[in-house]
Amino acid sequence: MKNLSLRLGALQRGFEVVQMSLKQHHSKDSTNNISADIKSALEDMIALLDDLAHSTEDDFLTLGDELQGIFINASSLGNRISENIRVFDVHDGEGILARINLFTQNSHSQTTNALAEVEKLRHSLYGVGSLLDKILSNTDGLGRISMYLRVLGVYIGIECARKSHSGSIFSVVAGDTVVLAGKINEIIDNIVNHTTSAKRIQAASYTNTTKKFDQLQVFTKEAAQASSCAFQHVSELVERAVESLKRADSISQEITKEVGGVVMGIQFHDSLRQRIEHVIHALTDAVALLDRSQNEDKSVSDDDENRLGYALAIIEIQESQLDLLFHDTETLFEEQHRAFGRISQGISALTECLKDIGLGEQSPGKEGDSLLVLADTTKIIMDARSGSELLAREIKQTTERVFKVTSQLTGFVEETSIISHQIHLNALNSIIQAAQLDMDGKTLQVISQDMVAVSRQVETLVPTFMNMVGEIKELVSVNCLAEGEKQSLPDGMDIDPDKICQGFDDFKSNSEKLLEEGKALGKAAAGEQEKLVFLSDIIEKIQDYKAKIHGVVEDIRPLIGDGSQNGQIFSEELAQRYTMEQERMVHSGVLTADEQPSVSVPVAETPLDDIFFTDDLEELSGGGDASPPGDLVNMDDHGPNTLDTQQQTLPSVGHVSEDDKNNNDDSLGDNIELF
Amino acid sequence: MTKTIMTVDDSRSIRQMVSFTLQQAGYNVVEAEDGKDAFSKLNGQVNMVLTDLNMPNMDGIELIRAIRSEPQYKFMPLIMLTTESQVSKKQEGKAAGATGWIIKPFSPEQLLAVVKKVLG
Repeated sequence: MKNLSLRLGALQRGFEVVQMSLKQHHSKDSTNNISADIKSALEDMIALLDDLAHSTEDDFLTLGDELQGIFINASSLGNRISENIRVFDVHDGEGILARINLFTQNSHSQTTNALAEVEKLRHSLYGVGSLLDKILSNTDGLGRISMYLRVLGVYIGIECARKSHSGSIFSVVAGDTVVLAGKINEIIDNIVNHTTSAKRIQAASYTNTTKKFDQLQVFTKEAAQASSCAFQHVSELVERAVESLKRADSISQEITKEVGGVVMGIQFHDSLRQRIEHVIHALTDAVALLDRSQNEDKSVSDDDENRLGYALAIIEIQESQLDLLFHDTETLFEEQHRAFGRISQGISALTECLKDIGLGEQSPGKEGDSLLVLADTTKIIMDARSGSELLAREIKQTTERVFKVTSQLTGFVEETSIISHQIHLNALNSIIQAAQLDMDGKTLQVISQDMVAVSRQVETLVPTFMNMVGEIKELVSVNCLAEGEKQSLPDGMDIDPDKICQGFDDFKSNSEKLLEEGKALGKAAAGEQEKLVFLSDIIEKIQDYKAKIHGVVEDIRPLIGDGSQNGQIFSEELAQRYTMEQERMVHSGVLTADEQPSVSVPVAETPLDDIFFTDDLEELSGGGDASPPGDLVNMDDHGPNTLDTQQQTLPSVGHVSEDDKNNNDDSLGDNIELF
Repeated sequence: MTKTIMTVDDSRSIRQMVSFTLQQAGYNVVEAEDGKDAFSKLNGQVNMVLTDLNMPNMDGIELIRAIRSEPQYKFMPLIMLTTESQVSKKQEGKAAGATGWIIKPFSPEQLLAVVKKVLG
């Protein structure tokens, strides 16, 4: 930048020399000296302009490189913001929060189902207990029957002892009856023992599972409520964070676009360089004209005045070119400054958004609690689900044990049935025998009929026992079936609760990194904005040069005779050098005076042959063979900013041939044409 | 497959802008500082050329003529990217074999739209 200022300063001094020279030599007698001095000064300026045109490229390129870095960083920042959004996006099924939500809902639902199943199993277990109670109750009745049977046996024995003629037969019956009664007692003992054992298992299990079941129900209910509450709070935080991220994403895109626009402004150097090069070429032409205006006889001819006039016109046009260049550079500088202002504002808004994403920097600890609660309750819900499954298995195992114990009851009952049958046979046999004894057997007959009644009572109890055992079997099989319907979460739905907090920590950490990068981006952009000062240097210097050239123009004008053509005409060749619409506009504008078109209106593409008749510079400077004055477009006394009435109106750039119109692709822009 | 585009300009700032724009869009970019340099760097891998008009050694029109004279580049898109807007110059470029004409300054969107349109 310092080099640029030095170069521009030197250039300015060169213009000052030209101005001084012209001021010192304003008589015809000193025209030759003036020409020599101006020529020398212009040559110095040409060198400085050339230096300015080419050496400033490094400043533009350096700015371009650094802005590209900012662009890439801004773009990368935007991409990572988008990635962070996806991590937690609530509405996207892939987001962690959405997964937690689905997971807790599913887990809760499954835990509830599992608990309902446990409740069913528990109910069955209770049913088994009730049946066991009934069995025990019925064994009392059987016991009483057994006791009665034994009494009958003893009574028969006494009767046998009293009546010797019936002793041998009935003593056997009496013995058998007592034995059978004993057997029934044994069976009853077995039934009671087994049933009591089963009942003990059932009761212990039932009490235990009921306690666990109640606990699980409470845990599940509380965890579901806490989880829902925590989830709601975390969701709100995440919703806010995601909203902020989305805003940040949008701002980041705007910043990237804005930086991209600033980067593209760097191409202005190409325009600056070409236009300065054209100014240099024009000034070189002016120098050539001045060179030829030095006559050996030291007198000033009309031709010399014309040449001075041409040189003046050329210099005037370059003044206008520099004026436009000044305005364009100023516009660029202002636009870049405004763009940087918008970038700074955007980055400031971006960092504010990223601060919001910190998940609770404004309310420290609160979101941390919610996250912990969410993680803990998720864990409880998971534990409750597995606890319910465990409990169901436990009940099933208990039921199986009870079943194993009670299944032996069937054998006992069947045995009782067989004994009952034997009693019945014995009783019938006794009745027959008693009948043969006539009146002596009357007592025995009555006793034997009681035995028949007893055996019938036993037979009546047997199906009752069998039914109860059957019911127990049924309940057990229902429990076994229920256990087989165990539920599980779909694949990929499981979540490690410990990773929930880790996921949020990562999110926060990423957001903090993004914030730091946003701040760094802001600093970098501010740094680049400061570097735009080189553009303001250029603007300042161009403005100075323009003023100096204007001074030169004002000083050179008196040297040209009144009758001269004032050199407003110069070669078409000069006009042909311009590559830009702006240059052509200035070129014609200076010569068309009052009708000078506005800078913003593009002018003709049409060759200027119809307007400017002049030959090329070679002809102009060819020694007296210049175009006749009458063929020139005249300027009036007001100088170059007036227009001869012969001047034609220039068509605008929009005036194109039908063929060109067909080739223009409007969707691409006015400056693009595909053939 | 990534397409390769050559940018030909004696202005480093323009080459920088063109390269940046195209590379951001995923294209490979080869740079050349004038027509002669560009012609020497054509190796069959280049899919498109964006060239300035006024350059030392060999200008854009000459470059286009030289490229079109090579049978393998008969259909390669050749776009002029220049400050020159005169119809006569455009016609000259068209006659030489240019595919299109972009007047500087350009926006990245415009450049990419043209590239996409001609490269497909």
